[in-house]
Amino acid sequence: MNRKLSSCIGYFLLVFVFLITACSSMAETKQAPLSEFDLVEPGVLTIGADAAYPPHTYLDADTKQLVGLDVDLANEIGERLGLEVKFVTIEWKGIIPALQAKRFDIITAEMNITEERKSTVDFSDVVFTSGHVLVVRSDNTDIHKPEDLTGRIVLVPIGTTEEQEAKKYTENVKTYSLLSECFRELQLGRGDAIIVELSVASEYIKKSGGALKVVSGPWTETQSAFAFRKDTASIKLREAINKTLSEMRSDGTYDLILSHWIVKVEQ
Amino acid sequence: MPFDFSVFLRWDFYVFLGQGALITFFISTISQFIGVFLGLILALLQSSRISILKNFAKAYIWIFRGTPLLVQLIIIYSGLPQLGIRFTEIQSAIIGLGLNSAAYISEIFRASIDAIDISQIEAARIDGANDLKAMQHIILPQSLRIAVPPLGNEFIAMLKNSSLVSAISLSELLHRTTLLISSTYKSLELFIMAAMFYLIMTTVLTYFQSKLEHYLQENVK
Repeated sequence: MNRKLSSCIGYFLLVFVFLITACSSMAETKQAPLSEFDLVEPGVLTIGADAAYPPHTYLDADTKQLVGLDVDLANEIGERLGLEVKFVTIEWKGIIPALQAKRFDIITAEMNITEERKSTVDFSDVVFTSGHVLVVRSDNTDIHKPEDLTGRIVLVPIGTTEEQEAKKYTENVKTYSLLSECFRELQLGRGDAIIVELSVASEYIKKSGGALKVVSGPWTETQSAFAFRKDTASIKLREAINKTLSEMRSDGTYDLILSHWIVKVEQ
Repeated sequence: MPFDFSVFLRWDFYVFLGQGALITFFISTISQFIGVFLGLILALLQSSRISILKNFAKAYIWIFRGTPLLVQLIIIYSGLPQLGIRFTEIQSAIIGLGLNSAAYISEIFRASIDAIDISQIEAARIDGANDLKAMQHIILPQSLRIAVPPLGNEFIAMLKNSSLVSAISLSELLHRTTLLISSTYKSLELFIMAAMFYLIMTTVLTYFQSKLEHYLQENVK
């Protein structure tokens, strides 16, 4: 065999063996539980977030840092519990398996509470209440309420409570992996309406520069909360976070953070 | 929604996406090395006369080619820790992509080994070489040359498939693009920017592939 060829194959072998060794030596060892909470990383509250959901958790395009309502709330909670706060960004479809695999301690409060999800995760007390509204193009005059959607094309992000809601009113539901795609397609005329949470809609309406508007008031009530693993170690953490949340509500910190992020939408 | 050219003047966007491209390139390259190495072994096992080895290789390919890459990645990253095996994000990504591409690459090698005329083995036997020697000195060098173009295809496919690792919290090129889109709403502009990074990477790969093809053409006879 050609000499260079065999050294080449030998090189592959070397790299491979090196990787296997590196993997086995670097594979994390089980960490000793910290005195108070059993955290993924001692002294650090690690939070999983999709980070594509303004104003809750998203990336600031200028600073490249995660910002948002949930980030401020989490930082305040961390400070009060004496924990450092670290965010891990992960795509929505992998977020629950990663929580269960102890890749992070909790999921950021962008997850809506549903009976279905309650069977796989535990939720904190309600962090945020909102409701579904309809967004249409500004020149639209015949959609005012969800009942008007019959026979219309509705755009929603896939696997969300919005998708379930849309299916109640029309058969023409188009799903996208990102909410921002729904807004783009609506503006391009590939659909008639978007179902979205009021708190999220305002941000997009602002950016559309008058091309889109919100019709209908919220006709549902959605509740989002921090999500936890269903294990005994997480119960203590959940209780502590619930206690901190209610303290923040009573001393006004919660409202201060909320009003900073949520813009009221003119009906 | 007017097309916003000013997005293309944002140097910080290039840096942010470029870092994602480096992650994409890094995990794809390492995984490809693993894939080529394991793929070659699997192909040799498949052409072996020992039925246990042959069936092992067949089962491996059946599983890794027959299930979605996304599922494999999530099992490695989030499923194995429940059995006490814990890899970091980068390790999970490299293992997942490497094991997956090995299945495809072994089929490339199998086809290129089959492409060599059987009479060459017979000739080698007459010359007194055993099957292993014939494989090492006559079949493999020729089939490697045949395998290079489809391997290049496989590498480019891997480069693009690797965007799935964002589901195991690795912020590669495409995920970084969607993060920027979520806050700036400039989807078309940013997707074009991401496409440019992918094109740069595949251009570099294609260049090295043609160099390698040329080298094998000249030096491996």
